[in-house]
Parts: sequence; structure tokens; C-alpha cells
Amino acid sequence: MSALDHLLLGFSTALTVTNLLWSLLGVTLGTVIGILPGIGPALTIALLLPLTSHLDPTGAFIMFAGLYYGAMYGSSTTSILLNTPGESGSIITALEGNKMAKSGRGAAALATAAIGSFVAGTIGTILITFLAPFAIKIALKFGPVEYFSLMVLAFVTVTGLLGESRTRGLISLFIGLAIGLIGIDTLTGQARFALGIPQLLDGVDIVVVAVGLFAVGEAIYIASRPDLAAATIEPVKGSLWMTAEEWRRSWLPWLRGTLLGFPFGALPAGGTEIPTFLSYSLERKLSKKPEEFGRGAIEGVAGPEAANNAAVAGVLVPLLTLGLPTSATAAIMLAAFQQYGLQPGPLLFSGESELVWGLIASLYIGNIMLLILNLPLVGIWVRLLSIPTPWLYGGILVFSTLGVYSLNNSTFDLYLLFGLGLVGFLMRNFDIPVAPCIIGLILGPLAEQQLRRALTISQGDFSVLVTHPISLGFLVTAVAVILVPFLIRRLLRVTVLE
Amino acid sequence: MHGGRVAGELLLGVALCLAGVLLLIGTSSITVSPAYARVGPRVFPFLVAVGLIAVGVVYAVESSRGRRQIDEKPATVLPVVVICAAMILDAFLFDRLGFILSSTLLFALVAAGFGSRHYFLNIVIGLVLSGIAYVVFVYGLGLNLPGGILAGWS
Repeated sequence: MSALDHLLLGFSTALTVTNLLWSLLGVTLGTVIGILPGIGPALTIALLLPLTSHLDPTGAFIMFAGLYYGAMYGSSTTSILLNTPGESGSIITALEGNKMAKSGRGAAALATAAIGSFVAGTIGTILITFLAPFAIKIALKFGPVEYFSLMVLAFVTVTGLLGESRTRGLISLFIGLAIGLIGIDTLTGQARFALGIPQLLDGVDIVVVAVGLFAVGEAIYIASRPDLAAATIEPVKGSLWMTAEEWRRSWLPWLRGTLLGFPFGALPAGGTEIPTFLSYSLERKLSKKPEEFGRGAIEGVAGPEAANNAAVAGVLVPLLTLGLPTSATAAIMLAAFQQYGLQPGPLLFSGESELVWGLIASLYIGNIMLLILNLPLVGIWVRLLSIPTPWLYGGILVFSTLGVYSLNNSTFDLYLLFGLGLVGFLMRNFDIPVAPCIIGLILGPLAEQQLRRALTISQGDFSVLVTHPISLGFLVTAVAVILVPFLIRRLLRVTVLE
Repeated sequence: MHGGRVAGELLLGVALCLAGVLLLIGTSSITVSPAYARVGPRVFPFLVAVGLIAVGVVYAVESSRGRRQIDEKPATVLPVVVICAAMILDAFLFDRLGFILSSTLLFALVAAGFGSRHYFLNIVIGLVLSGIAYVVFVYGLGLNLPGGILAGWS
């Protein structure tokens, strides 16, 4: 069957009344949490996991997919009106969009962000549809050796390609890998690092770690910094119907942003930050009025917002076809698959094609729903911004404890949640990113499995990692990613000294 | 302030090394059956431990060189203490008082930690919020939450 046949099959799954309702619930929740400061899609899906464990998996994943896209739409609204970007991909949107809102063009900024997200999301979903079967063919050629090296490459890229933060990214990654070691070793059945505590034999659940780091750690951090809480909400001014000139200035940045963003998500190349920055500087270079940048240029919202959404869509390609998460949210989605006993990869596409293609089809539908939710109805969601911070975080922590307790009905997890919250608070204080820790936690045990499988086949010979050409390619790229920025800095310093 | 931050970073580097060493000790205590002698349960933990020590050393060295720009405002301690106390109290009381009452307390304490002075209003909102959550999740989604001392009433 061709990709189109599969997609039609997917639509027949996604267009049932129940699944449409799941999608609507997902995109609405996604918009809400995207708008609320302090909650992101990773945290929300983590909290929903224990609550949805006995739902039909197809419905649950359609909801998660809607939530995943929806959070990106919502977070741009917050960046534009409040100037507090919810996640790193929205920093640029906040830069230019908030300026537009301040000068009374908030509605146009919201419109170009929402339509740009729609364009990028739809093109991104089309690319997923046609790239996925192709990626699967490649994935089928991978053995344990290649998978392990690919994971090593993913570890390196997610820890941050940008200079100074790399050490901190690695710290986060290794904390995650270390937590991932706790529990029974799947291959030998031995307990490792459980310290004799029975509750630790099953390992530390990714939900507890994600909620602890994202919700509890974040809450303590924000409370300790009262100066962060104060921000002014810009009212939505102007018309949501963009003028002909605004359309003319937006459509090319949307397309360019999409083309920049998607590969960054699809190749495990380190998140949504870099493509949004690239798109911003590209638009500034190409603009006929570069002096407007920094004072509210519509291209500076349209391009980066499309790049952000396209990268978010691209992340789904390695997640679904290889089981390789390259963002914190994707890591939680992988945990969701595991909860239902599913393993993303080529086998998922053949064994659970209804679920996978239903999920992909629901992304098209979700995008249309999101455009409606975020343009005509944006006024409703904006009111969420006026919830006082104490109530917002009080509520977040109540739902965090509820979700974490429901995992095992055990208060041990609540103490663990608090401990991890403290870790998250410390990490936040030292500017250590959280995402690599989450990815290390979920990928670590998988990487160990693949490594041991590879070494068992090779009878303990580590050289297989470099004698298999694909594996060697991944590892060389990984080393280059670590060394190249370092060498460039060295060279620059040498030339400066001379 | 600058000195405090560098000291903190050094401490973190040392803590990471220490964690790595503990992990090494833990790794060496994993028994390996002869069948897995070549690629057993020790290999990966060993790599992680070495990695932890390495990033700890690099981080400590980088921070002692003080290359990072620091523009931190001092954190306020009291809210941190209040929220930590709220979390521990909640974990302790969750089974004993039940979800609704312990969550009400958690909500009110966290709100107070964030500087809200409307103590009574916060308790009411916390009670309503956790009451609704209890009904929705226990009766709607079939979740198992402790009723606690309110359980006899329903």
C-alpha cells in the first residue's frame, strides 16, 4: 500500500465521532496548557499518562497528538501578549511579537503566528506522511549496533549544540542516565542500585521524574524569584483579519520557516531553538525593511513561528519510525507507547498501522481545529492569562501529586516526587536544562539493551561499533558535534592572540 | 554573590564526581553470572559512572576559571521552605487525611508560599478544586484515591 492508501485508512480511523472528540479534547487542552505559563506539553502528557492507562490506545494517542500540536499554538499567544516564552522555541516569537502587541498590532501578530503554525503544521504533517515509509525502510536495515550508535548521536545532539551550555547539557543527560539504571536489569533479572527499597525495583517512573523536574522544581524556582512573576498582559488590539500587505509579508517567511524547521526536528539535530533563530536572522537579511526588526516586524513572527511548528512536526518522524525521541515531549510520548506495550519503529507501522496512521491523520484534523480555536476564539483563552500565579501553581502541584500517586497508588512516589523537585530546583538554579535528563532516562535503558545485544552478537568485541559503516558514520558525527565548536573557539582564540 | 555562585558550581561538580564514584562502587557489587561475563549488567553502569565523573570534573574546572557570565538576583529562601514543607506534609498526610483534605492544605500552603495573603479564600478554592478533582477522577475515570477521614461520609 502506498502512503496515500495508508493515510486514507488513517482518516477512516480518525474521523469517527469518538476519535474526533478525543482530538478536540487534546487540542483544547493543548491550547490551554500552551497559554498557561509554567505548564508545557511534556508535563501535561506525563500527568495524563497514569489517568489514561485504561483507555483505548488509539483514542489516547489521538488526544496526545492534538495536545502536542496545540501546546505550540498556545505558547505563541503567551509569548506575544505576555513576553514570557513558555518554551525555548517561542523565545523569538516573544521578541518580535510582544513589540507588535505593544504597538497595537497584537491581533495581526496572533494571526500570523496561528496561520503560520497552521501552514507549517500541515506541510510538516504532509512530510511526515511521505517520509515515514521511507524512514522505515532505512530503519529496517539497522541492527543493534546501528541503533546504539544512533542513540549516542541523539544523546550528543540533545545536550545542546550551542557552546557554553554543552557541559550543563551533559550533566543533565548523565543524571537521567544514572536514574535510568535503577531497578531490575531486564536481561538478567538482577536488581541494580535499588538500595534494598522494594518500590525502586521497577525503576523510577519517567512520570515522577518529569513531573518532579518540570512542575515541582519549576514551582519552587518561580516562588524563590518574586521578580519573575510580574509581567504585564498586552490587550489584543487591531483586527485578526490581516491586511493584504500583512499577508504579502507573511507567506514567504511561513514557507521558508517551515523548510528550515522540519529537518531540524526530523534529523535528531537538537530541538526547536536553532531553527527559530536561523529563521529570524534569515528574515532580517531578506527583509526590505530590516530596520523594523526589533520594533515589531511581522516577518520576525511569521518565520520563526512556522520554523518552531515545523520542527515540532519533524520530531515525530524519528519518534514514530525509529523510537528515537529528540525532545522532552517526544520522550514522554515514547513512555506513553511503552505504557501500552507498544514499541515505535517499523514493527509499529506494520502491526499497529491503524493506530499510527490514525494518529497521523488526526494531525491534519487537529491543525484545522487549532486554527479555529486560536483565531476566532483566542479571546476566551487570553483570559486564562489573568489567573493569579499562587492559584496557578497551587493547582499545578495538586494535579501533580494526583497524577504521580495514581501511578502505583503509593505515597512513596510522592516523597520521590519531592526529592526530584529539589533536584529540578537546583538544576534550574544552575541553568542546567531539563530535557536531556528526561531523554537520557528513557533512552538509557534502551541504549543499554542495544549495546548488550550488539556485544553479545560480536562476543564482547567493541570494535563492531566502528567496523559497521552506518554505525561509524553516526559516531563520527557525534564526535564532530562535540569537538567542532570547541576547535572553532580554539582557532579563533589563537588567531586573536596572534 | 559572584564568589557564592562559583563555590556552588564547584560544589555541584564535586557532587557529580561523588555520585559517579558511588555508582562505580554500586556497579562493582553487581554479581555477574559467568554466562554474561563478557557483556553483563556491569558494562553500561560503568560507562555512566565514568561519564558522571568526567562531566563533574569538566564542570568544576570550567566554573573555577569563571568563564560564565553571572547576572543572578539572590533567591528568597522563605517561599522555598514553605513549598518544600507543603510537599513533605502532603506526602505524609495523603493516605491519612485523604486526597481532598491533604490537597486543600497543599494548595493553601503553596499559594501562601507564592505570597498570597488571602488564606481563607485559598483554603476554600483548594477545597473546591480538590473536591471536583476527586469526584471527576474517582467516579468519572475510576481512579483509586484515598478518601481518608472523609471516606465514611460518601
